[in-house]
Formats: sequence, structure tokens, C-alpha cells
Amino acid sequence: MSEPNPVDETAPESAQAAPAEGAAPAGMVRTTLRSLLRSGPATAGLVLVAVHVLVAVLAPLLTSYAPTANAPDSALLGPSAAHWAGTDALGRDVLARVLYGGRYALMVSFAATACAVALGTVVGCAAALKGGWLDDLVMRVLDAVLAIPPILALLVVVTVLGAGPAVIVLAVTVVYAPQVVRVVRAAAMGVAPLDYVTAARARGERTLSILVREVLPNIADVVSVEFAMRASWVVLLISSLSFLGFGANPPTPDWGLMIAENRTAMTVVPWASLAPIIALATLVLGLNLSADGLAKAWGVDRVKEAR
Amino acid sequence: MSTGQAPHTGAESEAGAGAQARTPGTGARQGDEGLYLREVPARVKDLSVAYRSNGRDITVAENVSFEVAAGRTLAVVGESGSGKSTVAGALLGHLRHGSRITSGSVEVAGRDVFSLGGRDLRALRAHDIAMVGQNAGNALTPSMRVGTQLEEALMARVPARAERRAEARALLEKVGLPGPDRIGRRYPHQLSGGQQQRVAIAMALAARPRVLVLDEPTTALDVVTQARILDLVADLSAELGLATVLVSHDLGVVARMADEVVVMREGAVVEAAPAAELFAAPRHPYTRRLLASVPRVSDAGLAEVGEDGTRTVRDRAPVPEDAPEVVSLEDVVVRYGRSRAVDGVSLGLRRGEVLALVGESGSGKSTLAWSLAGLRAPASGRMRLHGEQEGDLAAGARKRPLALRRRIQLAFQNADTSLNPRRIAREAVRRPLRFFGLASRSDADARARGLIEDVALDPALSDRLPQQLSGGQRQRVGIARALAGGPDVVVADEVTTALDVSVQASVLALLDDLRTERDLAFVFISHDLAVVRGIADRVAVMKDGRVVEEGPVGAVFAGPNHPYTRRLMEAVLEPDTAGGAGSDAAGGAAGAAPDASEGPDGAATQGTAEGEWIDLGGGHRIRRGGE
Repeated sequence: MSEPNPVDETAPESAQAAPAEGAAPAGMVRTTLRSLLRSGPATAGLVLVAVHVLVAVLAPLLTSYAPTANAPDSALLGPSAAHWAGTDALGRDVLARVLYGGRYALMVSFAATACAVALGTVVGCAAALKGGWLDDLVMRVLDAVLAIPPILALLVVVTVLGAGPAVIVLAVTVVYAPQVVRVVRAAAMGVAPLDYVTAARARGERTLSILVREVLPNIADVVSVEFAMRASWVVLLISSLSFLGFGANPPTPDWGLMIAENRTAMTVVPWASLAPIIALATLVLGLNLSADGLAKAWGVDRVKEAR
Repeated sequence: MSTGQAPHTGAESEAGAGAQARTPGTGARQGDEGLYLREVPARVKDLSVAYRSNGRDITVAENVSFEVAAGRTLAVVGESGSGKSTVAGALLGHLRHGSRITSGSVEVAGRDVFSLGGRDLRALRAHDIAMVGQNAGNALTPSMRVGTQLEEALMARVPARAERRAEARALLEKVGLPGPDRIGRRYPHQLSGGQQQRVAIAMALAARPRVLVLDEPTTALDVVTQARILDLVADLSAELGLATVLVSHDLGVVARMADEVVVMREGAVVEAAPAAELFAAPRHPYTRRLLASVPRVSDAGLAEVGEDGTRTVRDRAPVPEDAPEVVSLEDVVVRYGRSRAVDGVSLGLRRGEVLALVGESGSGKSTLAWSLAGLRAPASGRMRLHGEQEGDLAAGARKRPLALRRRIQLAFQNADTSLNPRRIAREAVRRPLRFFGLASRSDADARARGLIEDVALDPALSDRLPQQLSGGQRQRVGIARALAGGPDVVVADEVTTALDVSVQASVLALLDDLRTERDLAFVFISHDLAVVRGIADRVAVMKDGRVVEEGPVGAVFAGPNHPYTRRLMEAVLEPDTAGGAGSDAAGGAAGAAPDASEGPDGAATQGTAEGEWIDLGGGHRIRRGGE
């Protein structure tokens, strides 16, 4: 993790880094990409995520079947030329449902993660910058929220408000935002005492403008890694909810729901449950690997930040 | 191990002998002792180190050669980027990630460091060579009591637990820490910087090394603590017969400590000579320039150094007698919780004047400055700005009217953190221009560029990110940002402390120019008395939140002084006074208990005593009561 003697590392490093560094932000994107592509697992992760996104976007072009069209006469078929992954008990094409299922999983997860990370970032930065009683209050409230098991909290929200994408997004935001707050607050605390923030304070700038101008650009890496990491958990969580019957409603093509629907017919048409399982596993794996790759490329130490 | 070379104290060598008898490893090594005696403990031969970046080899050190004999101290001197730390790391067999040796060798205790494998290298570091870094706070494990850490360092040599404990205690005592039992039970964060550094030195000595590498050992400490630590190191290395390699940018420290000096620049050795010779008659122009750039307490103004190393002292533009006061402080108290960081300070600052605040860390000088800049409101007392814009400074920055706020601006110490790494230099200057409403959207860029030019920077650099600028350039941008508000007063908090001497000289000259051009008043915070002597018109010495002495710079440096001021001055290390009376006196004072004298020397007879203060005339006054 940390070098035994950071002193002799940093001092001359900064002196030498100055001339060697490439140009501005574009250079940073390039170095990040280069570092990601150099690492095998990170590349694999990125490719997996990209494939999932592509497939979800192009689903109507990849299959001619509608994901919700019942066909009782061709129920429970094994893989064949017509139905590559077979059909389920209602005669729906499994492959089509898996392909369309990615749309639902990606969209809801993305929206939920974005909300959780955005809320967490704003609250975390505010707590770090303002400090004092606000910080104390926020942290104690978060401790209380964190003490509730996420799946339980989700179930309560869903049972009270009913299932549906909007509710799920809200529920996931409530459950995950506190954890994001902790990570972002820690990162922002590292930036808040630096002189450029002090200079802005001495100018009497508003907290919001200090946050946007001085703090956020310098914790963007932490926030991005947090986003990628959370996304993989959110995908899993949402699928679990669907599996338990609290997420997507039946005709919707959703991986968790498909596994739940088809597991009783596991011995007859194994592919009807295997296909969504593989899709889910590869997406989560891809997100995880990309998050790790990003963290490494930017030198974000999640263990340290979460402390 | 080293028993044959160095006179130990009785207890020490007994413990050492006992340990050797019990350790098979050391027993075997004892047989080589005869060999060890003849060879040089540390030898660097023709060493070149390079790292690869963008497909090119970049040389960090080039053909560096030196050797250090037992009991001698060799200093490696250079500015940042000179490769001196690389050489220090190489002695321990450590290269920065991605670097490699392109030629030469490093021999420690007769073994080629870079041919050793993992186990042998560890053995070398456990027995023969030790290092003390710049920031002891980082070198100690925060979650472990220092006593336990010391015992861990002794593990290789002293197997018995009880003995280890005793030895750890002896080491803490040896490095001059009061109450070794008490200190040993503390955690690193409960110790002061100086104490941490002593513990780090004790840990380095735990292995009874033959070679001690000190990488900027006192740079993070204030002058008085620095003097004590240097004395300690000098005594210990003489006593234990260590071969010491001191890496430093501070020529004063080097003059005080070194027997031989190697001057490095951009990875190459430009001059190597015995210390006395080098400081008396430097041969290489770079060395001459470096030496000349060091500010001296005896200079009556800022020194300007020519290409060939000649130095001329610039005349100080006197502050006109009738210059109006711009800031007045009356009995200002700033609190942190229950403690008073600033405790009843009354000072005045006139237009065009540089007032230096001097004192050790924790004396309250930075707090006072921050309070002036509106970052921490004083608990009581009056703080006012006068002149064109009249206003109360007792309010925090956000409560001050915009027009008042911009009249006092801050410049920071640390060039690495004073600029937002994600914004280009021009943006840093442009923001206050826009924020204070001093420039319209369309001409803000041009104005920012102009300001960057005013601080003697190439305006082309204004499109660069901070990481693409050098430390001195960043510091100039920071100053330009402070100027952008069009201030009457600039609070400069240790602005030159982190800079190399030659860069420091140019930044100081810039500040001096700005002052005369713009009629600026500066509050200049520094712990470096030589710098203060050069730039300041008046000096206020602070201790424990109070001003203990205040006066025109000439009068304060001529004396008589408050005992605390005197201690600060005695602790100043200059390249000229190598081993001279000055540093000896400092050593004596540091070794002894804090100055016992009751009042300022001789002042009682000359000055007119009145209340708390002794007034020596001409604005020079000294607080009654010693330390």
C-alpha cells in the first residue's frame, strides 16, 4: 500500500514529473486508457461492459422475437436453430428475453447508481467542507442508516410503495447513498485543508462554488471509481429483488425474474435459467474488473478512502 | 560489530558483547572484523541511475563517486532534482520504481549493495546501514507505541525480550529524550516533530549500523530544534564512529555537520571537496552561486547574485517617515478551543512596510496571519484596516464587505498545494479578478496574463497546469493570485521556505520589487532569520502567542534582545560560520537548560523600564520577563 519511506519518493518525483508530464486533461484521458488497456483484467472488464451495453442497445436488431410474446405451442423447447437458447414455459424466446433484459438491468442500475453517487457526493462534500455540527449530524444519521441491512430496507420500501423502476431507483439511492457519503467525505477531507481551498475561503466564496470549482475536480477520480464499484453491486441487488419477486413485474424481461421463473424447469430447459445467470455474472464481473482497473490507473485506494 | 572501532560507554559495549555472544549471525560476522576495519564503510563508485519515460532514458544521477570513512560525515548537497535523494536511496539498495543502475556500484560494509538478494539486503539494512528520513512522523508506525517500535528494530540483534526493553530505554535516553519510560509508552502522534525525529534516530541506531544516511533530517523542524538534533547527530556519530552521509539542501546545516561535501546538480557531481575548503574557496561557479544565494544575517538587505557568484546587497528602500498605518492590531486574542493561540497581540503595519513575524512553530504567527486574512475571527481585540478603505477586520472573510476583503490577501508556503492541480495557472489568477468584480468576462484573461507577467513569469506559462510548473513558478502564480485582488496588504506565510536557495532569492527580490512598485504592505511570516533580515523593515518575535520583542530590523539584529530572540539567532546556521563561535554557542545553549537569564541583556541599564515592556527607543521594545 504505502511506501515504507514516502519522503524520498515524493520529493524528487515532483521535480522530475514536471517536465515529463504530457499536456493537459486530454493527456490524462490518454494515460488512463493506456494504463487500463495495459492491464489484462481491466481490458476484459471494459470489453464485457461494452458488449453488454452494445447488446442492450442493439437488442431489436439482434433478435426477431419479441421478449414478451407468448407462444404456447412452442413452450419448453431446447436450443435449436430457431431458438438458440430455447424457450421458456410460456414459449417465449430465452435469448430475446436475455438480450432485452440487459436494457432493463442497465438502465435501472445506471439510474439508481447515478442518483446514489450524486446524492452521496453532494452530502459528503458538504459535510467535509462545512465540518462542525453539520458533519457530526450527517455522520450519525448515516451510521443509523448503515445499521439497517440493505435488502431489508429495500423490501420495506418496495412493499410500501409498490414495485416499479422509479421506486427501485429511489430505494437503491436511499440504501447506497450513505456508503458513498463516507467515501466521498473522506476524499474531500483530504482536499479541504489544502491551500487552494483556503485561498477560496479567504476570498469568501460560497461553499457551493468552492465545492464545484475547487473540490469536485480533485475528487472526480474517487467518485468515478465509486460509481463503477457501486454499479456492480446495484446490478446484483436489483436482480436479487426481482428474483424475490419485489422488482420487475412478470412480463418484463428481467434477469432476476427469469431465473426465478425458470428455475422450476431447470432440468427440462436448463438454458432458460443459465442464460440470464451468465448474462448477470458477466456484467457484474465486467463492472468489477473495470472499477478495479480504474482505481489502479488513478491510484485510488478504496480501502484507504473508506476509512 | 562496531565495538572494535568506536569507544562505547561501558553499559553499551557490555550489552553489545552480550548480544553478540548469543546471536549466531553476529558471532559469525565477528570473524570478519579484521577485514571490516580496513575497508571503507560506504563507497559509491561511478554510479549512474536512470529511469525510462516515454521511451527515453532520463538520467537522475550520473557518474557519482564518493567514499565515507568511519567517523566522518559526508554531505551531498544540491537543489531539488539534483539526484541527491536518489544517491541516498541507492546506499540502502533502494531505487525508485522504474529506475535502474546504468553503471557503477555501491559498496556498503564491503558488499556490493545491488548484487545482494532479498535476504542479504535485509541483513545489510538490519546490521550495517540505517536511514533517517525528513519526516519522522511518516517513518514511525502511528498505531504502535514508540518503545515497541524500537524493540522491533532491536529484534535482529537482541533476542531476549527483557534485554530488548532495557536497550530500547537506553537508546531513548541516548538520543536525549526526557523520561524514556514515559516517552516509550507514547504513540508517535503524541510526540512533537523534534521528539519524533529523535525516536527515528534512536531506531536507526538500534541496529548499531556502520553507515548512517540522513535525508534532510532537520528540514521539517524549526531552527532551535534543528540545532539540537544536529548536535545530537554529531555527538552520536563521533561516539559510535559512524560513517554518516547527510543529504541536504541547506548549506548552513552542511557547514555545521560535514567533513566533506559533494555538490550535485542535475544528477552530476559538480564539486567535491573537504568542507572547510569548499566553504572558504568554492571552485565551481555553481557552488559559488549556490553559496552566494544563501541569505545571511549580516546582510542589511536582499542579496543579488551574479552569474559568476558575486553577491551585492541591494539597498533597501526606506519606508517614508510619514507613511500612514494600513493595519492596526490591538490586544488581539485568537482561540482554538480553550487555548489561546494568539494572546493579546498589538501591532501596527504601515503602507509599504514589510513586517516580519518570527517564531518557532506553534508560536501563533500563522494563526495571527490567518486571522488577518479572515479565516479565523479573533475572540477579542481590535483589528482594523485603514486608508482608502476603512474597515473592521475582526469579522471573518465572508462577513467582510467585498471591497474590504480584497484589500488583504494571502500567499501560501507550500507551492504544491497552493494551486488547484486541475486548473491552469491563468485560471487561478482570473478567478479573484472575476470574483471581486475587478475585470469583465472579456478582459479577465488579458488582465490575468498581465499579472502573471508582473510576477516575472513568461505569460506563455499561464496555460499550464500546476504540475507542469516548477516550485518557484508555482509560487509566483500564487503571488499573482494574491495581487489580483488589488490588495493593500499581502500576508505571506513562509512563502520561500520550501524553495531552493537560488529560487528563494529571486522570489524575495520579486516581493521587494512589488512592494516598492505597488506601495504594498507585507506581513511576512518566516522562521528563517536571515531571510527576515534581508526583506523586512520591522520584526516582531512571537512566542506562545505573544509578541516578546518588536522593532526595526536593524535594531533587533543589533541587540540587545529578549533571551528568546537571542536563542533563535544563535540557532541560525550559516555557511560562513562553519564550526565558528556562533554555532558553538548555539550548541552550548541548546545543550543546557533553557536560558535562565531574567531579562534582556544590558537592557536594564539602557532602556527606560515601563510596565510590561522595556522600551529601547526607535520603536524597539522588549517584553519583560525571560522565558
